[in-house]
Amino acid sequence: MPIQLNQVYYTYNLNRPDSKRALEDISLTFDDHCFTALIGKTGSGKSTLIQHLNALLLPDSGRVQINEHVLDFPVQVKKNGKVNYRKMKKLHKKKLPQVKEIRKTVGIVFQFPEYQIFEETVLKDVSFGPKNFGCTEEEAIEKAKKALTMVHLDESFYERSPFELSGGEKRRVAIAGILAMEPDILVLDEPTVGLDVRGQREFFHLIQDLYDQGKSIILATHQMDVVLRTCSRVIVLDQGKVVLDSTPLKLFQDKEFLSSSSIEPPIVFSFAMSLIERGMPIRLENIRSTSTLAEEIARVKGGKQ
Amino acid sequence: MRSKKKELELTKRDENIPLDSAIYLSNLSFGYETGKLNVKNVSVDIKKGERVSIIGHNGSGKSTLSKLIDGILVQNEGDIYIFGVKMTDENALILRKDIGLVFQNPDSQFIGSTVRDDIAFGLENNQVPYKDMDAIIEDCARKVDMEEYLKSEPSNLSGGQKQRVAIAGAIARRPKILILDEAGAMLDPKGKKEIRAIIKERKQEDPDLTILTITHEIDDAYDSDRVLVLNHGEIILDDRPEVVFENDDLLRSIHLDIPFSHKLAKVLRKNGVDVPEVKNDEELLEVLCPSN
Ligand SMILES: Nc1ncnc2c1ncn2[C@@H]1O[C@H](COP(=O)(O)OP(=O)(O)O)[C@@H](O)[C@H]1O
Ligand SMILES: Nc1ncnc2c1ncn2[C@@H]1O[C@H](COP(=O)(O)OP(=O)(O)O)[C@@H](O)[C@H]1O
Ligand SMILES: [Mg+2]
Ligand SMILES: [Mg+2]
Repeated sequence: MPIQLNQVYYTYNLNRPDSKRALEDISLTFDDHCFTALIGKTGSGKSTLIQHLNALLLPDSGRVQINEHVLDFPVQVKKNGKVNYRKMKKLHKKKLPQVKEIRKTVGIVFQFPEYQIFEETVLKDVSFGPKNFGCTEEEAIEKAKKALTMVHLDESFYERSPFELSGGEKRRVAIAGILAMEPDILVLDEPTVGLDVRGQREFFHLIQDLYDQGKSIILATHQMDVVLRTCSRVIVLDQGKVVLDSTPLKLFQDKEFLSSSSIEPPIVFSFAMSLIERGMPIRLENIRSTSTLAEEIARVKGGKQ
Repeated sequence: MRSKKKELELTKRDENIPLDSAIYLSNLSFGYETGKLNVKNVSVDIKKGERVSIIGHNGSGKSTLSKLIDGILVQNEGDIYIFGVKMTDENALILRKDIGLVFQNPDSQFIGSTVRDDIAFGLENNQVPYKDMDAIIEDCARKVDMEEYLKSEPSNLSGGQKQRVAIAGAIARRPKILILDEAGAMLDPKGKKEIRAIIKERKQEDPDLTILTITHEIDDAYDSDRVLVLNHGEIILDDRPEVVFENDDLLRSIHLDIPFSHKLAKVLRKNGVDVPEVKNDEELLEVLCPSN
């Protein structure tokens, strides 16, 4: 269990009039080599939770454990009888030598990751991370090249300016920048927003590929077709709480839960459900995409298999 | 401040432009760098009250085109007419008052330090009387479900929430032309539906409202009267949505999605199941499993 969250609470602007509770009593375990979806409507706490997975945010109470590293709040810093959380966090962040280790274990790809690109060539940009973590120039370049290969960007890209690339290519450069730090766990926060259909398709192939190469994937997304196609587990957040922890297959059949939430099954799935309602004996558990649905229908209708 | 007379002079209609035209683009070209065009020779007449979608791959020039129409970028060649008035350096600020543009990236849009200030800023620009502002701001914030956040700093909001605020800001100004540049991209499906409903409602209140929607979502495009397909800066198709989405091969060749029923029917044929051409999901369902 590389990541474990135990009764994690988090509030933005704590003790201020505009304070906003974003996470409430979150207890979750993410296993080795998982492919997990994090879903829930805008504002439900997905990004906040994600930032706890590599110590960008620290819990107000509860604990986060990443491999052997524990993040919690044993210290109480008080001022006028009140806990001064801000000060406490500052202190704590300084005293967190494990943060570097954690950031090497868990890599986060944010929305619009291309905004984090800043070097003048692709190779320089991707090797920035490893260099920052103490690799020599040569080691860093080595790791950068390996990462670029993983995202299918070949040598011809090394010396190009990242700013001249297409949206999809930029995003791959940004991900390579994270991969170069060789994290075991890759966390992606709505990573395909703004990509066109082909860009999205390529991107999800890439993530699937990285999973097959042994990475754990945690993916916040609104794209239920992707959840159905790729994820083996799905966690639903609502107002900062975990309201469901299940599989895509179970979730998309749970009419009661769906009607009380804003989640809609992907069109492949609802289409398959309609066929079943009309009496076609296809097996839902085999359906993850348009092509698997077509295969199921062909099986029933006696097309070629 | 400019005199009313001067303003009238600057906004004289060109008689050659049809009276019912809202946005008239004539041979419009633009490039960010010399020697390269990102919008190529675009000519189109968008009518008052029309709902038009623009689709096209990443980098096809959709955002650039919307910035040209809003006068943020200035074309290298060609002309832009807003309600028949030719846009010039002198009158661009006046013409812009009729245009509400919601940017693709809402971060580049916020000016105010709170959500309330930000919406107020747009109203001020349009010379809305101060006594009316609070009511308008609260009404629009309520519509996009962001009433609770009026005192928040825009930078503390999530991407989707920012988009909601940007939409509130745009509709608060009651523009005659609304341009939405992937304005719901960061929202969840329910949020997207809500935004669609808000826009529909505005359209019902004001049937003359012209709406330009830049989108990757087939649902948005189907909701419009007309779809423009942009490819490498050029308009390669301009037709009703039903016609555009019939054209699977073309859509695929420019990296756009095709309707689910078309896709499934195609894959079924590949799998040896004989299915005729279908228009939509219901038809395909009926073909595969007739209800009796
Ligand atoms: N920097 C911030 N300051 C104050 N409130 C925030 C900040 N970031 C997020 N929030 C609030 O926390 C809640 C959860 O937000 P977030 O984790 O971004 O949700 P999601 O990623 O699911 O859309 C929302 O109500 C949001 O407004
Ligand atoms: N500020 C800029 N400087 C230089 N090139 C740009 C700039 N903004 C966009 N481009 C380029 O112009 C083309 C069209 O971009 P854009 O209008 O944003 O496309 P779309 O909105 O259809 O994705 C792309 O090739 C893009 O890389
Ligand atoms: Mg988020
Ligand atoms: Mg754009």
